Amino acid sequence: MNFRKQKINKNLKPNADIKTKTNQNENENENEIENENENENEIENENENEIEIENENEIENENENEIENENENEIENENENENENENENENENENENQNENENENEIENEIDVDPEEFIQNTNIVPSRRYLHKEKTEFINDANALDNKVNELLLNLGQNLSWEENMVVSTTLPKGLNPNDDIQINLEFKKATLEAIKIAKEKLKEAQIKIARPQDYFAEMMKNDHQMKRVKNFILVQQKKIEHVEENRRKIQMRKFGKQIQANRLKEKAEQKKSQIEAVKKWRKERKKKGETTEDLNSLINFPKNQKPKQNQSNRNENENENQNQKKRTKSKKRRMKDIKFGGGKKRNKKNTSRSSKSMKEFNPKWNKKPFENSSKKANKKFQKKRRNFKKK
Amino acid sequence: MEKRIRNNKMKLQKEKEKEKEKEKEINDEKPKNEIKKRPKRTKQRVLMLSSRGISTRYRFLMKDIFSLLPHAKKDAKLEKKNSLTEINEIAEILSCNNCIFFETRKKYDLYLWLSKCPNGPSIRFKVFNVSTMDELKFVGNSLKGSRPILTFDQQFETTAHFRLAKQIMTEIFAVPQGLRKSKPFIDKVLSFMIVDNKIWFRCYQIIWKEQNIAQQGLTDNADLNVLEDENNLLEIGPRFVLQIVRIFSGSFSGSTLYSNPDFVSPAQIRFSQKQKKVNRFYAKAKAREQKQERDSQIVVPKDGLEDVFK
Repeated sequence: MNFRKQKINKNLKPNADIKTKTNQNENENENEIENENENENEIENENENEIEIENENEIENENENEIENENENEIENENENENENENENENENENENQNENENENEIENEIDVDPEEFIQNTNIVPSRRYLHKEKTEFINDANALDNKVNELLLNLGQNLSWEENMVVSTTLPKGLNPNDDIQINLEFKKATLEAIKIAKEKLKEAQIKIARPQDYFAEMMKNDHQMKRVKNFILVQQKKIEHVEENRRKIQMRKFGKQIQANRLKEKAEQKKSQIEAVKKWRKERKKKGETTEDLNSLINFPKNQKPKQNQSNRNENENENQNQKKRTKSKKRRMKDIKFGGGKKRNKKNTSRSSKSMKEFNPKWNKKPFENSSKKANKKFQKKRRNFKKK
Repeated sequence: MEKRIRNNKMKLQKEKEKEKEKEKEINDEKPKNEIKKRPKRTKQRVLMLSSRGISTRYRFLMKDIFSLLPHAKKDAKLEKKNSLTEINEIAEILSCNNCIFFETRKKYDLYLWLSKCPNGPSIRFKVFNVSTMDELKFVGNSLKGSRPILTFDQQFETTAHFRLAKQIMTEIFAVPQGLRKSKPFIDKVLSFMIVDNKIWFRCYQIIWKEQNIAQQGLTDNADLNVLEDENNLLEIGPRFVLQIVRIFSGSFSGSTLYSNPDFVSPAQIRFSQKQKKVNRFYAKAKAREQKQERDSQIVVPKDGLEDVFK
């Protein structure tokens, strides 16, 4: 009895539910093992396309036996169903017909149920479409595995020193979440650092040289070109971070700029006062004593490396701003034309790795034009396409 | 004429060497019977293969692992027509003990086989989360062919299948001493850790305490947040996660010794994802039928005031 062959009738019979459940209970108790075998056999056969090796290695000998078992089991199942379902009717033909009808009804009523529950509650062998392919047999032959390990160790030989395969074992903390990348990588690093300490002691005993001297040049796993790329990557990242921090600082400065300016003005005024007073004093003393007094310069305390007129901080800011402005005095249009000047051709498109990587021409926002420098025609075409796509 | 001169030179050199040896023998007081005993050295050679239909990312992985193992030999791609047992023959020809086989299915499922070639056991892994050496987040670099330190998690010793996996992986990934292409200093660590019943592979460069120098002019130690009194690790190389699918008693053949219950084949995953879409249709159909039933059972009570305003 194959599920595939049965046709589904659209006439529903509400009373069939009760009978199916009783049938199921009776059948389950006696046909469990045979059902399991059936399921396993069919599952294994239907895995052929996906896992070829199992067929080659495992089931070459076993398939033949299983096919024979299948046929036997199916016949046995049918017979037992017929006998148990209706004890009143003695004719086997009637039993068979009624069985088929009831099973059809089972399906009709149980369309509303999930296919998985349906499979569990009936004896019908499920088709490939509804199969979840749940294997119930998993092999774990610990003895054989240990024997293999011992064989391998024997083959390697006794008296193997530690330096042959430098193996160390460490412990990881429990309860690591495999989805948390950052934590996992940190924990791995810590564990290997501990392992290295153990290894170092053993290496010292074995008198193996550990640290590579600076003179030693040899072929490395990554060539110089690759290391340059890595270096640039790191520098670029650092620059980005610094840039962001500077911008934050500037914004904050602007907010509190007025206060700072006011403080600065106050300080200037105070300095001026103090200097003027010092000069006045000096004049008085000079009048009194003559030219034996101290020099002017010693009285007025000029801070080191500071010219009295300009403030250092202001000067630096001005310079930076000028530089920044100088970078961008030319408009973009002018810059593009300058590039062409002196040999650039009209069509400068290239299919290099750099050009394929560049995200210049892709904009995430729908409303913006996709191609900045291209003509209106290209943009019109693109927008037409987009409109038609949206309609669909 | 030139050849004759060369040959004569060679002959002279040989004669000189022989004389030197004789002098040494006379001078040496040791008897001839005492030959220097070389320590027992294991011979491990690894054969690296892939199947046809391998994609770029896995090809680069293969290349990276090949650079990790100086005792490895590459061979041409294995076609589908040839069954897996032919790998054993190829290994015999190339005199290889071990084999690493990259099996790709449908161009994006990678299965890794590790096996001891003529008789020994073999393991089939499913590979996840591959990152190759080419990525810029891997900052470290080491000598090509230096012997690595292998670190295994302690969980490898709890269960039998992990013990076998550990034994096979030490024999494959550990570079034998005295190998021609191997380099002297110890530069790297390969770490195999178990999280979530899967084996996580990492490869790090070691910067020992004594080497507190700016690493190849990259950046100062201050930027790498390194204290000068400690060893440091920088990640070099490929990264992947392995899940055991099956362990076989022979190489690419034989009975299974272990099959993993957690393993769900990617085809099954895709199937179940499609089934979700299908079940949406069935749910709608079900809801429609139920609605029809409910509607048929609705009995609107008669309003006494219906006929008032007719």
